[in-house]
Amino acid sequence: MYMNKQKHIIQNENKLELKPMGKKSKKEVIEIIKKIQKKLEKHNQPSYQYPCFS
Amino acid sequence: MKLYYDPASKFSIKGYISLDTNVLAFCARDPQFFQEFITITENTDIVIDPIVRLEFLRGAYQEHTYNEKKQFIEYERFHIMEDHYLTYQQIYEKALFIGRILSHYGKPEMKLGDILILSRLASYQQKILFATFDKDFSCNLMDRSAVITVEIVTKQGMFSELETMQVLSFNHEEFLKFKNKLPQ
Repeated sequence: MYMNKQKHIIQNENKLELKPMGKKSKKEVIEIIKKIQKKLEKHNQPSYQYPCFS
Repeated sequence: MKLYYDPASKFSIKGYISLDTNVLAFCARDPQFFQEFITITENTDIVIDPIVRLEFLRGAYQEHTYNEKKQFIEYERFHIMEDHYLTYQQIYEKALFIGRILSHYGKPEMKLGDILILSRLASYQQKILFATFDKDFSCNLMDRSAVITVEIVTKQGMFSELETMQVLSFNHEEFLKFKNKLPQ
């Protein structure tokens, strides 16, 4: 299985593989965003800030 | 959040598009931004770099939104990019040169995460667009396809701020040019 995976990657070098991260619909995702928004407001964090990584 | 952009740019935003952590974070925090963004990118396959996924979820612990953010990235239009050591061999090789080029031309402080994101874009032969708010990516190694201005209304609802989102793509020819100019 592992060797097959290696072979596959070598053969498909530089080609982008598309693996969906999940099956959630736009409607479901919007409901989740609303929950995130509420939590951020509760913790008094401005919704426009985004995390920095260094 | 309201987005201002040239409607024609929708036609140049096609193929694959990779999102920077800040764009993903904006999508996860504002339903209006998310809806507009996925409309602008409707002609694309949206791909997420594993480094971006890590950055995105890393900030969630502090905000107590880990479970919600984990569910958010399960959106059917998000695709995870290859996360395998053979892919990373290529990425690290490119990262070394990109880091050297940026340092040589006056940006030694470029974040390691950003260099790895840039290196992944450089590792694929096909054009992959990259949406970001980070101005550090504006360099000769990148071509600009579109600019989108985002209006952010502050919490009090009185004032607004403008942020610029760029849609870029890696320029392989420029990369080779700069790579060959590096001191041996």
